[in-house]
Amino acid sequence: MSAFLNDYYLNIAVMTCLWAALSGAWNLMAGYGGLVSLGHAAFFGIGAYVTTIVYTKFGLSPWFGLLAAMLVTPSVAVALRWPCFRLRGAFFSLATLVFPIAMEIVANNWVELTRGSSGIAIPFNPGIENFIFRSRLAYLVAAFILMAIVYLITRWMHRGKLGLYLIAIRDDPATAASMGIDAVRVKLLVTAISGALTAAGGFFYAQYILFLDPPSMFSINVSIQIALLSIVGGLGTPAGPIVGSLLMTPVDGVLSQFLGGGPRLLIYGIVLLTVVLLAPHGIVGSIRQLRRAR
Amino acid sequence: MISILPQLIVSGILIGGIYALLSIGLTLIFGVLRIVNFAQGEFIMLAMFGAFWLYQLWGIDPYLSIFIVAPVIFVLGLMTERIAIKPILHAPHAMQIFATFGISVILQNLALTLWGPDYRSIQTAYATQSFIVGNVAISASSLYGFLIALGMAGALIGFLQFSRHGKALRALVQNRYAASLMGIDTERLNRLAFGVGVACAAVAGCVLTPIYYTFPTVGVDLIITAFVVVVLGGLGSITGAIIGGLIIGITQTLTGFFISVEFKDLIALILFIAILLIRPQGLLGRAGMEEVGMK
Amino acid sequence: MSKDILMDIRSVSRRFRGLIAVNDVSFTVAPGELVGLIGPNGAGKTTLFNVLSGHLPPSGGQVLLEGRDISRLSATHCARSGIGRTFQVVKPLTTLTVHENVTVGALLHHPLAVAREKAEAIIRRVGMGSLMDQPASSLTLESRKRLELARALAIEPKILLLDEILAGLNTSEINESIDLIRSFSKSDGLAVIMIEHNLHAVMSLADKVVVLDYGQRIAEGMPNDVVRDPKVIAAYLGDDQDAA
Repeated sequence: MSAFLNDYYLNIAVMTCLWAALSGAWNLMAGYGGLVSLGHAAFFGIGAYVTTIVYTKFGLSPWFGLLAAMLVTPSVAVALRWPCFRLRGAFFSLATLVFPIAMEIVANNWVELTRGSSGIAIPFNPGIENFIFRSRLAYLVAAFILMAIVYLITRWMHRGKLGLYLIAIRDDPATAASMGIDAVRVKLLVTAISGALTAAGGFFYAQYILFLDPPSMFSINVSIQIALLSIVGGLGTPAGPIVGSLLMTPVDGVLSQFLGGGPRLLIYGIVLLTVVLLAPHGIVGSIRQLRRAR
Repeated sequence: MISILPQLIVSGILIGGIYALLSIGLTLIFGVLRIVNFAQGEFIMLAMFGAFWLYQLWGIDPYLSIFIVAPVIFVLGLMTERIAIKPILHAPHAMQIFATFGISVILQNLALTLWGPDYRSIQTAYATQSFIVGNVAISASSLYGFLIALGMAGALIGFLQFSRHGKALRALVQNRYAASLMGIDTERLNRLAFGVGVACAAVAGCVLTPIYYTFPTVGVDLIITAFVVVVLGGLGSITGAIIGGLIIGITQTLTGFFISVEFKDLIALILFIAILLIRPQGLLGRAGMEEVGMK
Repeated sequence: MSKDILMDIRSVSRRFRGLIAVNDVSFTVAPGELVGLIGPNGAGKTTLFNVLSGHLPPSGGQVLLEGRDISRLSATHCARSGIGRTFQVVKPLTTLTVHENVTVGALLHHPLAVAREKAEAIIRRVGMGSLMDQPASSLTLESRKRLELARALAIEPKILLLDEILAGLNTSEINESIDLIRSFSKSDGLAVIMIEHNLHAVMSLADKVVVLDYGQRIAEGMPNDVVRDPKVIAAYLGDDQDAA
């Protein structure tokens, strides 16, 4: 019994770190750049599929897959998002909704590569070279490292050149231009970084769950969860995604025991709307504001 | 091969008219409130369920149920605006996006929880009827839907053009600040615009019920199509939405037949990227409008 | 020409559909020269600035910077070429502090650590040292204008376009600003074009004055001469015939 409970908690811990990492990657684009992507599942899914295909179809170590994913995904991200940069605000976001849907259609139909809707099951061959482990603890360490990397990148960006430039572009593009900032290049850069990190998360997820299929990889639920965690925790802050995940992921774990998909997401939606209306700066942001007011 | 062309084009026009109606609501809300209503698809979905249940339980014809469903959705829209939209009208873009997106998630999953994920459809008496004109078969439900969509669009344009409130709305679209200086009550009109915008969606929903399947996530597909139509036609232009809708409708039927059914879904997305690359302001939009900030 | 020319504005026009906002305007700016650009409201001064800083392309004519044609460059590239600019409606980046605001400008030519130092130096020089870490949103109008100036200076421009930087300030603030602008112009050798309605400021600062009316250049010369030019007086006050 205690072994089961331990396993259960370990799983929650792993997922908490993973979601914090994914949400943190999203936060780079949305929180700092004002590029609210509602379709980040596209990068998550591409990352997972590329690594899995490299491993199962070509027999190469998933580490190569990770490398490939971190090259392919930003390229795709940049290619798809670049025409959308001329869309401002909500229209950009609406455009991002489109991509996971398109990816899902592609994944479902390109059967030779992706086995279509039946999905790909990854054989359980434990070993560091395959990034598959017997113990959950090992996964936890890896997930924690990923989360830490994302956090550190966000901190580095936070008031560094990239972060400041993003804020300038977001708040006042005309002024940003008059200071010599090339908005398109900056947006492409942050999109590429965000895409690469999200793909790494997808890689982790694939090697952890050992099964992927188009609906679960590209689902809107993934996109919603990624966004929700950062908003609850604090958009545009390095710790926000982590705080959000610490709060929401365990809750989600409990909820999914008792509730099906519909009611669970209903609660997410209500939480989202409530936070937006009542505490738009999220937990971390609100704490900061209170501190400043003193 | 060519002989099938008129058939495809007519079918395309019919469905295109309905797409246009979906998009008009979106365009109106954007023009007046300067926000994108991510929940537009969900209001359509609610209307479809409304029409479905009215038919299922009491046998009310979907076209008649418009008179019940549309006002209900209109009121729902007014309430939504008051509770969830008004507070974020001047918030940063990200928050505006999440607010309407949040409403969309709530409505979708409310429907999912209440009614389950099953696809439903209704079979009206005239569902299998069609009119034969030359060598073109026009399905009755599509035709009625198209005519109603056209009627609604015409009524809306008339309202905007001739009524006092309508003119005030047009003033708001053109210049919010000047309009408020002229004593136009922007708050009331915002609410009105939102209500009318979702009411359009409701009419489109009722009209779609006999033709399409009804299920909780139907809004997602529809809003993407509506969005493509709006971008194609030009942001803020109602005439553009109509033309855009027709073009998308025809393109979809042609692609569906000549290439493949799966491609039919992809074609809208491909068109969307193409428009962004070639002419981002759409056919009738003013250049630079797609870059208009939401202030 | 015996003097060097930094910026050469040649027959620049800018049309908006039927309206000609800037009509065949030409003048030059030498390095370190301070040019006052005056004229009644709606004369096309800000539009001209928008063309010079790359925010709008010219409908006709050319703008040369150090001999290079920059007419078609975007705002970003104009800034990189050395054109600094303030805007009539000051817009600081409100989510950032004063220091961060200016650092954004300094980052154009320096890595982060150096940029921060340079930004700090500029902020002290414009007299805002005590406001260094204040959020930009909490500043008074005068401080915002100083911030706007500091940010433009941070990109180390060769020429600075100031758009009504004195508007809305009281007399003592104006005098302080005049001294500040003079110090940057004379000691740093920075060329400046100032759009200004405050003639006292223009008279005390400008090496030469260019007058625009209805988009056209109607006078150019030393401040004292231009101010007495009957065409200029007529433009500001209207002809006696109009009043009759």
